[in-house]
Amino acid sequence: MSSAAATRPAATAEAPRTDAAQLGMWIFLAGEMLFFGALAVVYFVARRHAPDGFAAASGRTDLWLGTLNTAVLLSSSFAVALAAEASTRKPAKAARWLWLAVALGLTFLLVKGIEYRDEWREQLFPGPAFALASIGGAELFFTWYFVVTGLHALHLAIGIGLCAGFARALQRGGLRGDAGATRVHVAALYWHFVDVVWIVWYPLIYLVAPRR
Amino acid sequence: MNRPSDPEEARGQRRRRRRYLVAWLALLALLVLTVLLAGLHLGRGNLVMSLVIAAAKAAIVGWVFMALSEAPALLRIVAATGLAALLVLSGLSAVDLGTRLDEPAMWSR
Repeated sequence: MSSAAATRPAATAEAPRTDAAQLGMWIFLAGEMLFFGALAVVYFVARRHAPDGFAAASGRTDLWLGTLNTAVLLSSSFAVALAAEASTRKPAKAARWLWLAVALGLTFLLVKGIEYRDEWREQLFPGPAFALASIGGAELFFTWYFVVTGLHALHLAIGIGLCAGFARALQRGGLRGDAGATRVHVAALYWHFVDVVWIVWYPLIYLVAPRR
Repeated sequence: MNRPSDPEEARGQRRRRRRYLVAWLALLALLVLTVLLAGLHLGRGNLVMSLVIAAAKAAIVGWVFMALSEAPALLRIVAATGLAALLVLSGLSAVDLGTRLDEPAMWSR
């Protein structure tokens, strides 16, 4: 440690702050893991009690829009990773990658909105007029579905706000140097985590029963 | 910090960008695979396969995009602790659920 500090003084001066910022985000994400994990446990308990209801309800979700959205979100993570990588030395490039991630995030929300609209029209929103009321557990599935996709969309919207704010700041000459790059890296960690949450939700929502 | 002209740093950046590209292509390939498998009737295998693929995708995002592969031990420990706590708590819930056959939950009576 001390010999490294002697050879690369500037690098080690910034390193503790970088580590502390990333550590803070990882601790937050560990908490988020438990928050979303509890929702996954709820899912598996309910699905075990009502396998047929969950299969019937999942069959009514739109596999193709869900798959498209998964591809969109995976690609947005790629863009954010490139943005974080570029943020250290190429702020203009980093800003462009962040704007691409913002566009992909908004695309995800738009597609999710289309899914919600279709499900509302097909009376799949839990309530007195619920379309699959005769199948036990189907309403439970859709209650869970709207809660978790809504919470995920909220997290994504926060990520979109962060990326848009940072992209603007980078274009206006802000967030320069290692301190600026650290902030972009920390926001990127959050974005990737929201992507991971969706990766787990995707099979639980769309792939309960074999399709076709 | 290193200067932009540092050739070693430039090589490192190129290497990381290549890693990101490979990770992205692998993620999309796994997505296609999981959709194809969803067309097969494998019984419990459908759930198992889709969860295995989801775990693989999450691992790629965590290891490559979230840079756990290059992270200091402290960050890895925090990530592992979060995951371990989740597994312990959900495992304990599963123990409760698995031993309830003679005391079914309210909605399964």
